[in-house]
Amino acid sequence: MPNSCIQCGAELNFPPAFCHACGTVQPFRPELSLFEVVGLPASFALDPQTLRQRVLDLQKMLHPDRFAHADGTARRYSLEWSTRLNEALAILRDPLKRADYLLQAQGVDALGENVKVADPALLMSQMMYRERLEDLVAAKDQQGLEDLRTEVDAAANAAVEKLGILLKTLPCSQSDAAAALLRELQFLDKLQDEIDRSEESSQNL
Amino acid sequence: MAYSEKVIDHYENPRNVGAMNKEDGGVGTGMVGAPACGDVMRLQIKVNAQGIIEDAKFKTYGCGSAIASSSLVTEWVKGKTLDEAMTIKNSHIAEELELPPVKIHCSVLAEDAIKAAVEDYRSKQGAAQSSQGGEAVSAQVAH
Repeated sequence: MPNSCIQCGAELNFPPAFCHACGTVQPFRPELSLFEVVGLPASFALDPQTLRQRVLDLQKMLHPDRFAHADGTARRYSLEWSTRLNEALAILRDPLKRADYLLQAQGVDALGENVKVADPALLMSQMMYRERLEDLVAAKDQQGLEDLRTEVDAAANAAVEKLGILLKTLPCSQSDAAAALLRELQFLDKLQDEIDRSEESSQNL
Repeated sequence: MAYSEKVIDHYENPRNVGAMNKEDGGVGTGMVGAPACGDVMRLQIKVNAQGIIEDAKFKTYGCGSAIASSSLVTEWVKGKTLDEAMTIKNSHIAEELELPPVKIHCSVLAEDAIKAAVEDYRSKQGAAQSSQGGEAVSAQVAH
């Protein structure tokens, strides 16, 4: 494990993209988790603002302009870190993806392509949401669409809140319950997309 | 990714879209969902006294392949016995619709939906029989 700077030998802190003593960009480490890459503790209760600022600060230091005259190896390292940081931001800022990432880390695949849902209550509620959306679109009911969106947002927020409780201590001991919540959230997420698309297209009529 | 002509045909002209009364003892309802793409599928069958599926309806919210898979299954099961309907495999659906590998799970969903509908119907019949002291007419095919 390369825990010291390749340039000056100083011990590396997290995030380890740079040596904090001499500023040298370090070899990329693909084995690090997304949390380690951004230098934040692995947790579901992560502040999106802190995450964003952390990534922005690191990206500034990794900007290609800074490496225009650097050797090929340093340029490659900086590009690798930078790509991984973008990935970390995209995944960790989204509660759904963040929860999925944390559960995957403990071997729980809640949203895989082969995962199927047979929970009648969940399916029934999703079917009813979809039918309502269809009717609202047919009736060109703009206010109804907004009301539906508000309702679905509230349901999604409630699911995120419950996930927060289950994922408070990691690894999660009630991973089945967390996986079920994650699936519900995924359905709601797709539904939100669909409502947004319907709102856009009805406004363009 | 290009859809096959058969998928587009079912997508643009879906067969048997609709709903049946799921409280009806002769109706079996199967609901399944795939969280990966947020698809929800409901497939219903109406079974007559001879145990033949005489009508089928579906409602699917999802991608073209999921809609086409369920539309195709409603066409296939009409006139079949419950046992015959249970033999429908996702591979048959995928082959008929020429689904690409990334869309195979849509055909799996349709297979699960028809199986769930048959099971729902059978459990209703079983419940009806036991509540009538086993004297109820059986619309079930031996299995």
